[in-house]
Amino acid sequence: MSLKPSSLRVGVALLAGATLAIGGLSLRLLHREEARLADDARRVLQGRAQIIADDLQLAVQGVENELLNRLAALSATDLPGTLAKWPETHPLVRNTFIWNPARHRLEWPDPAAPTTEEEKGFIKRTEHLFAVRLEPLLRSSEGELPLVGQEDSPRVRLQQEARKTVKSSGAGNGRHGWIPWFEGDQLFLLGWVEREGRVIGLELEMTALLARVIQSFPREQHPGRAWALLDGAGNVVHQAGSLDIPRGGKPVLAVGLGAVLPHWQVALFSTGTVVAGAGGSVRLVSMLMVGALLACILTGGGLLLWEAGRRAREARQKTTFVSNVSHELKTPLTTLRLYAELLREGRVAGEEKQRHYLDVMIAECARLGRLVNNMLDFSRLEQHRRVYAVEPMELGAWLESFLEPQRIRIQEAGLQLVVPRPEGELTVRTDRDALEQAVLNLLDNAIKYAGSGKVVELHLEAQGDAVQLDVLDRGPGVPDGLREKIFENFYRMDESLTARVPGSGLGLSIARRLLRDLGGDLLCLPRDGGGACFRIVLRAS
Amino acid sequence: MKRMKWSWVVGVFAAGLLAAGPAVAARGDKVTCRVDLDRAVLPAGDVTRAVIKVSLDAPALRERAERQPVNLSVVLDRSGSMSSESKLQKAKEAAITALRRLGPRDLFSLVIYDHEAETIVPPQSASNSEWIESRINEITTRGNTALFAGVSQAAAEVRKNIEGRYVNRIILLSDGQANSGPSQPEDLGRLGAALMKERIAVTTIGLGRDYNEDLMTRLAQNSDGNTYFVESSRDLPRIFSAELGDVLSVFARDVILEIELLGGVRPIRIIGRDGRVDNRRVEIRLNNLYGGQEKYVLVEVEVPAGTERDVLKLASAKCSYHNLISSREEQAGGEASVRFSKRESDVSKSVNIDVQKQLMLNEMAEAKDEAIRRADKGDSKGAGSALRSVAVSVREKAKKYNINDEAVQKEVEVTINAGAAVEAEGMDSRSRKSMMTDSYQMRNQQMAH
Repeated sequence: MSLKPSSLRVGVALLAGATLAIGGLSLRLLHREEARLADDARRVLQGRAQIIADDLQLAVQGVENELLNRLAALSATDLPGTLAKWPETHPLVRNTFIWNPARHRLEWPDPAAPTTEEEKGFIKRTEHLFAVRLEPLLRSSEGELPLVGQEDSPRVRLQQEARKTVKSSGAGNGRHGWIPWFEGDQLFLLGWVEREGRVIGLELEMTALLARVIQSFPREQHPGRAWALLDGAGNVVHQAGSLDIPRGGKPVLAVGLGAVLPHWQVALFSTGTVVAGAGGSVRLVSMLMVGALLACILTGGGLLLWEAGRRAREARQKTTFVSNVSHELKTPLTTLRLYAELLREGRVAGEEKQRHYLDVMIAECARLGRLVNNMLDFSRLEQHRRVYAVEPMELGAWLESFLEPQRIRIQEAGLQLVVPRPEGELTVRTDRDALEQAVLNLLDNAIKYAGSGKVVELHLEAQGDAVQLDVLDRGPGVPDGLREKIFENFYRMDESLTARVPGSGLGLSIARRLLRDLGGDLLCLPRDGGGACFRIVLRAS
Repeated sequence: MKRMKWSWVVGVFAAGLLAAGPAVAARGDKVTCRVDLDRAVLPAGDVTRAVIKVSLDAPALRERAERQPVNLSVVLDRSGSMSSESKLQKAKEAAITALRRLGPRDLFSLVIYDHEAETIVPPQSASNSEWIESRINEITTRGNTALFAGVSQAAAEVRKNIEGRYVNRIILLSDGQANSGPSQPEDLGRLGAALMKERIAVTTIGLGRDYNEDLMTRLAQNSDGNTYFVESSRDLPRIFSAELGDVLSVFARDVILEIELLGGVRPIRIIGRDGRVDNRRVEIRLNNLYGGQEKYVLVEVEVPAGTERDVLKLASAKCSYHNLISSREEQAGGEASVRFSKRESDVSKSVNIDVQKQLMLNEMAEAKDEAIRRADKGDSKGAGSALRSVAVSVREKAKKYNINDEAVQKEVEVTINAGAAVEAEGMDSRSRKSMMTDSYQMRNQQMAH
């Protein structure tokens, strides 16, 4: 892959930036959308409130019109008697009255001699109306009593018009109207019709009217929301919905009931914002989507970066390896060639010198052989093609015979080999060649790096059901942070080509792989007093 | 309490009836109307005050089958407070008790209310009891007390079958103050008055000590229903059962009683009831007359001075009603005359014990209302002593007229004790409720207690 990690990083950063920008933009859009939704919801609710209010108005007007029509249609014979009976038989009529405009006085009920408690109350609460307010009201009206400052909705007005045309053909051709009368903070509705020079009228039974019209109130299922009918003083007369409306609480929106019930309102109460539910979920879903997109881009980019980094490192290691191996191969070859040329040209005098040259050549060949072996082993291990011949082995005897040919090499490196004899027999099942190769690699490392340490020790001992073989030296040791890293392929503590000691970076890696394949392990441990401790762990048989 | 008949009676109309013993209604049976005076002889030469008692007797129903079908709506308070002491559980049991007493021709509906009212059982034949009972058992408590909405909704349910030949009744149960919607006694009173015109009576059952007795009594009074104060929810099934006994024995409805005063007699007031008092006329409306029960009206009048041996026909009563057994509009009537005498003994010998007795009981009922008014103004000492002195004077009067009536004696005793208690400790919520309820039951001659 030719993509450089740095350019990749820039790409991912750009992508993430773009995503964040999109996220920010979508959040802004969401805010707008939410505001629009809230606006819509409010408009819908406002419309609903208007419908409820219209229904209430129409219901009340229906009652009012019917009562006025009946009032207008009453038979003229014994009108006072019939009127007196009405409050006792009609559930929506609380009181009736007859006003004589010519004599400016109430003819029924008789203010001087009311016959029931109810009549007494009626006379008292309408005293001011009849004494002062009624006549100007009657004079000013041409039909329906006009009320200023109260707007009826188009629907209600239309209905009123329709009713009017029907009504005018009926009995009520005379002047008529309704008077909303406030007394002691309460609303009373009085309807009147002009007949034969007198004004006959009735007082509506407000509670009975309410008991009927609240039946047309819609049910509210939304928790935390309630529709309420508020009277002129703002008291809740009726509510739909289980919300606790606090006394004096402010409604979310309110629609007046027009001239029919002046100052009364249909109001909506709510605990949260009107569209908290819908807006909240839209925002949540959108945030989740933006978040998921961002996470995808970032993890994808991260993975790509990591992969690219790994490949670059590997490539670098391979390059170093090839250089190292070339160097390793070249050095003994140069020596071999040089010595061989000297010998061929016979320029080496003395048999002893010639023998020495040949010894050097043989040693260099052995070194070449080890190098090639290691590389072959590595490639076999990489491809899992290595076959092990596992057999029981007595380690004490094996170690002695194994070390024997190595002694000269070790001594030539200026190291003293110390191998204490282990107690008893230590038998393991393992592959002899693999074990020998692992130990040889460790000894090679000791020779290469720990020459200054003067001594290399091999300790063999049983530890539970395992056997440990420690290879100890007093060289420079391995720093704390690198004790695992040194087992990686091609890793060398000093990777420079001009390193003092040549090497491929494969020895420890191969040794650990061999031992792990055999069920054991190779560890690098710190050693008190300086130096390195490599521990081979083998399963006891 | 009023099931007992009193043998001492003046007047032609009553004699035959009493000889027959407790009346039993048949298709031809009618309500009887009787007019009595507190004294048959009045002192001559002075303007005197007298009390006219007009009693309406409806014969007892003979068989369950002939009674009018009932359109019953039960309104249950499901507000949060009903959850304590298993009140709601008992209320549900009581509603089921009521349901089981109804027959297949009767209609049953059930409304519950908290913040708002909800119809749990729409009006339907009471024979669907299995489904209805399961609906009732699902009710749980929550929320507020929207009493007005509850009664309005029940009225709407009853109204769906208002055209049928039903006895319409709403039974309202509440344990708390109405706190949502119109909640003044006046408001509910107006609603009751309007429902009465639609022939719907509302019986109110106050449970525990926290309900508003003014509101509940007013609602019952204006719609001519019954009212009950139930301290322990255990009594609810019994009360519902008693109430159903009343509802199932309705004999007549749309009862209008007109009393015409003759010979210069002037009305002063109606004792213990609301009605229309005109110059020479008194009019009272009742929603229902129950079979086997006597309802009466006491009117205090002023009689002009008469001379020795004069006989004055001073009142004639006319009662029109709708007989539910024969489904006919019928009328009953009666008259009362009085004689004048200069001799004191003539007057005192002529005392009508039955009228006196009812008068005494009503006096004590009115005294209770007055005591409540005074105690509400903070004068519980005055309220208690006034109550006691009324009871004591009633006892004196009973002694004077030689009336040995158990009910009067017991009521005197109870009233004296209640007066003493109010005087000493003030009027607590319990005694206020029981006084108001007792007074109403007495003034209204409520049969079931």
